[in-house]
Amino acid sequence: MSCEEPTTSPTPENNITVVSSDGKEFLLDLKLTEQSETLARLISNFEYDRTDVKKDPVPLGNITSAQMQKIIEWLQHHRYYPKWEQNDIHYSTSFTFETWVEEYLNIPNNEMFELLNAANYLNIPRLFSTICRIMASRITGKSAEQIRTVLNIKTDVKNDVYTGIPIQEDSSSSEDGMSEISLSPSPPPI
Amino acid sequence: MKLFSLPYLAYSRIITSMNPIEVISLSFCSKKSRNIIKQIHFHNDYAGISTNAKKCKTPVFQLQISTGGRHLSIPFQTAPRSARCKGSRFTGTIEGVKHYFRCTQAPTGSIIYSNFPKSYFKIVRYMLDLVRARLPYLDLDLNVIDDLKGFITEPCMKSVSGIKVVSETITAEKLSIFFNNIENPVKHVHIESKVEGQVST
Repeated sequence: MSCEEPTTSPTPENNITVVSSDGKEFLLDLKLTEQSETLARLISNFEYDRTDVKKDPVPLGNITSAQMQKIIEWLQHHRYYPKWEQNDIHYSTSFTFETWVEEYLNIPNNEMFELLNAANYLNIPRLFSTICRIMASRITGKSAEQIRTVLNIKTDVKNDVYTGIPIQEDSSSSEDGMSEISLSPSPPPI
Repeated sequence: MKLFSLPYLAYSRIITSMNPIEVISLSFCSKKSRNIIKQIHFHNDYAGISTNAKKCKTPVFQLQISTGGRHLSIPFQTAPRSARCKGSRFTGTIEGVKHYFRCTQAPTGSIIYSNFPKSYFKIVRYMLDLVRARLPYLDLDLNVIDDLKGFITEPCMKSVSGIKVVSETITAEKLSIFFNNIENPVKHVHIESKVEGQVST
């Protein structure tokens, strides 16, 4: 999906200032903050959407300026996208992403985890779900050993009992129809 | 930063976005990863044992943990020759014993074989326990199961509530062995077979 992005520069009436953990200030258009449930609720609670209310800078103590910059890039790209639906979060299993998203999230896992943390803190469901699916797609087809490396997991499995039985092969069937295996089509009614 | 340093919501969403084959591989990474996976709520879309899933008749356990996602299949047979050429290998410890698995990819899912013959139910139990799933139904040709009593008295069969028998013909003796050994009340039974002999009740 792609949306046209008319260029509008934020004015004091339609923006708020957020401050990252390292003290850098960012001017955010109120339209962009609609994608963040945390910011949207805060704006609603303090009535920052009214022009006659004084807007204090919002401190975001868990988010660095680098992460904030990355998040703003995301918010700007998705500015005119339809609202994220709850069902998409739970049942979207696709590992296919638009080119922009693939380029945007072409970052090391460490940065990805930090961005995920920030998306979780700001409650940006589309970004949160996309990062989770990207992370899941990065380990597709990987063995336990490779997953340990990708996800930075230390093993605590010791003293496995290996009885030395070689992998058994079914010598009776060389053509086994395995490529045609599929989910059983007709489960009985339960 | 590590996966499990993330908030629960974050790592659980990553894990539930994975395919079952990667979930089982992740569980083999460490005891901690296995325990954490067991705390996650999966959307178990499909779990069952069927003899209809594969061209050559053999029971196959199948699990799908997300709608439209890839499924995991565990055929109750040893690895065929083709799996050696096409399949990838990985190891995993189940009940303290290290298994050497072969994994092949079908268009809609992954198929795994262990180096231990007759360990199918151990792997099935491990997988069901991992994603906290039950085995709700069976879809079976009883003629392809050698040990009917051993099959139906497996602990994971206690959750079965629906059974469909799809054998073309079946002897009354086999039906009796199968149904007389069911340890829990099964709500739905469909027998689509010609029965030879008289069934004792």
